Amino acid sequence: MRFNILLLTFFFTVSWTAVYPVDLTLHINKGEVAIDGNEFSFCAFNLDESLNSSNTRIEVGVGELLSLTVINHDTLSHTFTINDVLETDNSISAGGTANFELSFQEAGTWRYFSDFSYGKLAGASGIILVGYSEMPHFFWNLFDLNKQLSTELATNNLSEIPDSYQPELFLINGTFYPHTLEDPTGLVEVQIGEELIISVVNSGSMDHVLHFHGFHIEILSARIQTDRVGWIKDTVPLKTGEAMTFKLVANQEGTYPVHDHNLIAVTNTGFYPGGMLTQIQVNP
Amino acid sequence: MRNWLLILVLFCTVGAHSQVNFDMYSGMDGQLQLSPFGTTNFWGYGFINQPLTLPAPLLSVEKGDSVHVAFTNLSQEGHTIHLHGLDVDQANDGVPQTSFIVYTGQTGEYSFKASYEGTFLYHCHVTTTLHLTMGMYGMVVVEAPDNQIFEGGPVYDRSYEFLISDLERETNDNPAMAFPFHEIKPDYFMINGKSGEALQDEATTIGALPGEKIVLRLGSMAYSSVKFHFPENLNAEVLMSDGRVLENPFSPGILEIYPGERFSVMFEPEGAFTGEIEVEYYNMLNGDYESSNFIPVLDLTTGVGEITDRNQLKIIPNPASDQITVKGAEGTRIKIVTLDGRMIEEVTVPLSGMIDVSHLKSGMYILKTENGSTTRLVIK
Repeated sequence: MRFNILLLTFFFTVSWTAVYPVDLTLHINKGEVAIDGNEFSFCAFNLDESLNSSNTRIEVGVGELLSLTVINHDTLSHTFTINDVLETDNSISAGGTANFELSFQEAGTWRYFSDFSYGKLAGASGIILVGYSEMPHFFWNLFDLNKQLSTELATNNLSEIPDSYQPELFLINGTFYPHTLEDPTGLVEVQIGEELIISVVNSGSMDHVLHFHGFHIEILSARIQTDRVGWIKDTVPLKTGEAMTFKLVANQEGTYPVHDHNLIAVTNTGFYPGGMLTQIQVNP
Repeated sequence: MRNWLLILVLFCTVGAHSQVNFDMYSGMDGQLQLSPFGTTNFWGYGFINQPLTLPAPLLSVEKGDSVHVAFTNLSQEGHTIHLHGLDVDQANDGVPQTSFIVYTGQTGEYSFKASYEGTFLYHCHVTTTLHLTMGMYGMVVVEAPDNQIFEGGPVYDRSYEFLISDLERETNDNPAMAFPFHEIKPDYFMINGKSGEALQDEATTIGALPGEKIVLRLGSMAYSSVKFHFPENLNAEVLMSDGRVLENPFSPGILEIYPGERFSVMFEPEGAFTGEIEVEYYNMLNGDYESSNFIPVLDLTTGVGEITDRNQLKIIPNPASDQITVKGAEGTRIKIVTLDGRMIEEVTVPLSGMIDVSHLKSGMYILKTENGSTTRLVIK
């Protein structure tokens, strides 16, 4: 029963509109990832038992019932945590399964993660986007890592990021530029005049700051810097653990970069360009 | 009759905005005084026939202006100008992969419409991680008419621009050895290219009279995050960020600015205020405090003679070639003086503020008012 936790959080019956439950099974996987010869340890919430460094993106409507089954394939316990929604009093033991039922009453972006150091510091952190299904929407899950430290963190031989932390890979949705351009959920491709949503979480261990070329965005929601909701910006800091929702109006054609303006993060092990860099493509 | 009225309105609207041209170049042979560490190298931009500066020259235009930047690369590597935050189209974006690169000896052209007032930046987007720490950045200010911070917003008496940046001395000393770029760690922290005691200087001192409204245009090209500490009796209020008006202005106390962000902050000192605004620098990797700089704030009632009243005099465009508009000196006599103190001419500023400068040779001049206010004028 310990592993079959039923949690109803912020759940209210929405009688005036059709509500369709979203059933999803997430698998906690851990192992080695290799991208362009860069090998590192990673932990992620995936849709099946094979490790993928892009954590599953969860989409649910406002008021919809989200039924989650989380299966832990790791040899260590994990949690499924959403700050201010689902706190870390749950624990999913090695090989165990847990069930959660959630409902969100407002649109926006939330971060879910495993709240053990060997989980979240090894990459087990993803995005929940509530609402906006009627608009084109995209996801950027930011993560930074040091290859050598990633193994120590994932194996629980190191429980916190040291002061001397020197990240060398900077990921969006589990990969780095130029591979970010191969990711249809991260590469923003829309038609001129469309309004779109970008759902962003900083899963990394340092603050990041996204700069948009060609456009300003409106901050629709935030979890940490809530005083910035409603601001219209081209450069947006995302503190560690932040989850924000942006609205962008694609009002000019062309291809425009979006990147971290902490410029050490647009590199791959020191090579430029790389890292947290993707594009917005607005087609005629 | 209605058609004539429409044409008149259109004419007035068009006539209110200008075509502003900047002729710039890049160089990789700048020398920067690092107090107290001697000198180091910097790469940067300058106006044609003027020295390279760090930060690069302020580009000041008015809302609605059509702006053209002719950029000639006089250095040995390719560079661009990215107009940060101005939402220019792809062709003018200054990104090598999506627009174009300006190679040695070439001239690149950038054009944009200054549609929004506020604070913006420009910088090189070639190997950006290196070229920024080497110093290739500057600020763009788009002014609203009549000293309004933004159209329909508060009117200010004086404005000051502060561009925050930092560098790693080892990298600037020997940029060829800068790799790997992700390990660049700033260890010299600047405001308008100065640090520490060097900021106790007229050029970086805010002068204010009691009851005046002062606007600070703040931007960061640093690798660190910074925190501005505003003394309580300055009554500081944040009105804009990234060239957009904030619907809910706020009193910051401490204002945190991340790399690439800009803010417009207005303050109105309670009575006579002389003091400092502290700017703290924090390591983006671990959040550790790194250093502080201090921007002096001087009450001009008591400080007259220690600082010139430089911001009462504003020239647009600057640099100029044919004609300038002088603001804040209408009806007064001004002297146009060379840098070595030789007076070229003395004129009375008409109510329109417009003065013909087409006869002046290329170079830098000082404009002085009868009450001692000064500002620099660059003739292309």
